[in-house]
Amino acid sequence: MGYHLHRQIREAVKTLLDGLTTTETRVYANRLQPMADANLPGLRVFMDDEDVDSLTIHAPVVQDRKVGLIVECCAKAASGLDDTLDASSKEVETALAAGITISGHVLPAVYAGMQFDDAISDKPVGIKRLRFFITYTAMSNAPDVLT
Amino acid sequence: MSFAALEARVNAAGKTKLSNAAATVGGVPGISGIFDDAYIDPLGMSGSQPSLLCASADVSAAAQGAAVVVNAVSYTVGSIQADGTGMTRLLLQEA
Repeated sequence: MGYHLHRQIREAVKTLLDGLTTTETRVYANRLQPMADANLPGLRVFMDDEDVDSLTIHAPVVQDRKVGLIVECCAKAASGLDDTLDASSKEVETALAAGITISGHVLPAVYAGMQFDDAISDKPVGIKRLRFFITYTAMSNAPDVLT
Repeated sequence: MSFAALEARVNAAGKTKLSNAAATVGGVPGISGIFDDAYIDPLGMSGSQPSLLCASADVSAAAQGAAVVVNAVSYTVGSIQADGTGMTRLLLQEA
């Protein structure tokens, strides 16, 4: 049995975002990744929630799933913080525009909006939190396989 | 002794006994104060919050954005927080 599709999707997104101009290899598939200066500017990739519709009646049911993918663009800068976050955001949105590929299937990653957050520190820190939706279909007894 | 006089005396004693840094604030050297640079992790990003607590009279001319040098590190004043008792905390950001 393979990994849960959530993990497969997260790892595919991480691979896709690895090597972008602003964040280079500082991509972490971990919502709790502590971002030290050496990790910035960087990306945190994780999932927030998922909605599921059952398409059939009898078990195992076919499930239409819509998972919320979060990509946090994180940066710390004495000046131009928003510019850095916007540049990172542009690179992420562009990279995900063609969707992600899982087991030969292309899953669209639909951009659903963003939210800024910032705080004072030894230098200003900020996060641009990008939301995407990824829809896919799986059997209720095989959440590791696309249907 | 009036309360104001007592307050000024306590502030002066605290400044003398507790100051751990001599800073240059807005080009004025030799301002003594209590420098603190405790670890914080806002938004999950590690950092610190440097601040300098001084006698308000010593930094009355300081403005937001003024240059501050403490322990050979350059900062700018991010915010000025007078506590109303004769002491002012300058929140600093690395330049």
